[in-house]
Formats: sequence, structure tokens, C-alpha cells
Amino acid sequence: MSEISRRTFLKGSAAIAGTTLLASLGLNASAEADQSDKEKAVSPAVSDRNTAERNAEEQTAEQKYELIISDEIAGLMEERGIREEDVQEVVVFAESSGKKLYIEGEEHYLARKRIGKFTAYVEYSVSGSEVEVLDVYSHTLVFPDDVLEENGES
Amino acid sequence: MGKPSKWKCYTCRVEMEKVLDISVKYGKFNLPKAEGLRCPECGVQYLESDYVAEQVSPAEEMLSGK
Repeated sequence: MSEISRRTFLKGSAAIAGTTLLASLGLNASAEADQSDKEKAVSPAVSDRNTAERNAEEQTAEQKYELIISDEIAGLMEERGIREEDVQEVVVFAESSGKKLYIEGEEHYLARKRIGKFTAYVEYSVSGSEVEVLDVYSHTLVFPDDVLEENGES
Repeated sequence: MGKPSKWKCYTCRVEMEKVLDISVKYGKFNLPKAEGLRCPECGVQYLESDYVAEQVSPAEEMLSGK
């Protein structure tokens, strides 16, 4: 489905979208905070590795990638409240830490990073020094048992 | 065990698995398990674009009272 038609579909279905999650939410939402998730310890080895990765991230924090953003993607970014700086931050984090997904045989990646109160995702391809942004999206939900979030990395 | 995905974890070099049991929270609220991708080795989890657009974003808008 093309981006334009997909966006049209999404707008048209916004009123009914999310029914699965919301319907379940009405029955299943719980106000009980899961304290055990917050209390999980991080091993020294993991901690050392994370420190090294954070240092690598800081070293490349000033590194900027030449982002190629089509009008279509720019429209998506505006619609979804994602700024170019956010995209840059996700890409810098992914490229410096290696925390990303990829498609075998292609320079095609999906990365995410927690930025303030939301998690931003960027799907992109790399060609030389250029990074073409293929999709952007975000959510404010958190993953309480996710390794990146537990370690404060994302 | 989930279904394989086209995506691979760059850290572990293994196929991400499509799963239906990702724990998510909105503020202090535990929400129903979400659908997404999980690395079978390191456990990192991602939600996919269509799922976020069609399920998560509308739910978040309603929960935030927009």
C-alpha cells in the first residue's frame, strides 16, 4: 500500500482504530505498578558494556548524518510530531551503538530511541554518507521489561 | 516461539520473532499485551509502524484525553 493511500486509510480509520487495544484496556487495564520490573538488577558486565556504549554515543553525539527526507516523509513527521532533530538523534544512537534491526543483504535499518516522553522509530537506508528516511513513527507507551529501557538506553 | 520476521537484530545477528505478548505500560497502567518484534537472544523489542498507527496511537490519544 502506498504511503499516500496508507495515510488516507489511517485517517479514515482513526475513529475505529485501536479498538482491539482499547477494548481490552477497558477490561484489563490495571493501575498496579509492577515494582518488580523496576527492581531488576543489572550485572556488572552488562553495566560495563553499557558504559562503553554510552561513551561511544557521546563521542559521536556531534556527528550528523545527511538526512534525505522526501515530502511524503516530511508530511508524516509533521503529522506525527516528530522533528528532524529527533530523527537525527535516533540515527546517531543506532549507528554509534549498533542498537538497531537490519534486513539481510541490504543497508536497510529500523532503530528506536526513547526521547523524553516518547519512543521514536526511524526506518532508514544508508548509502555512503547519506541516510534516506523511509518511515517515522512514535509512541509514548513504555516496555517495562525491555532490555534497552531497563538499561536506560532507550 | 514467534514467527520469523524480515528484520534481524544487529547486535545478535538473529531473526527477530513476531510475538503477541509484549508488555506495555501507559503511565502507571499496565495495558494488554502488544504485538511486535522480539530478539530471541537479547530480548530487545520493537513495535511495527502499522501496528502503532492503527492500534497504539488511537489508544494513546484516547487515554490522554485528546
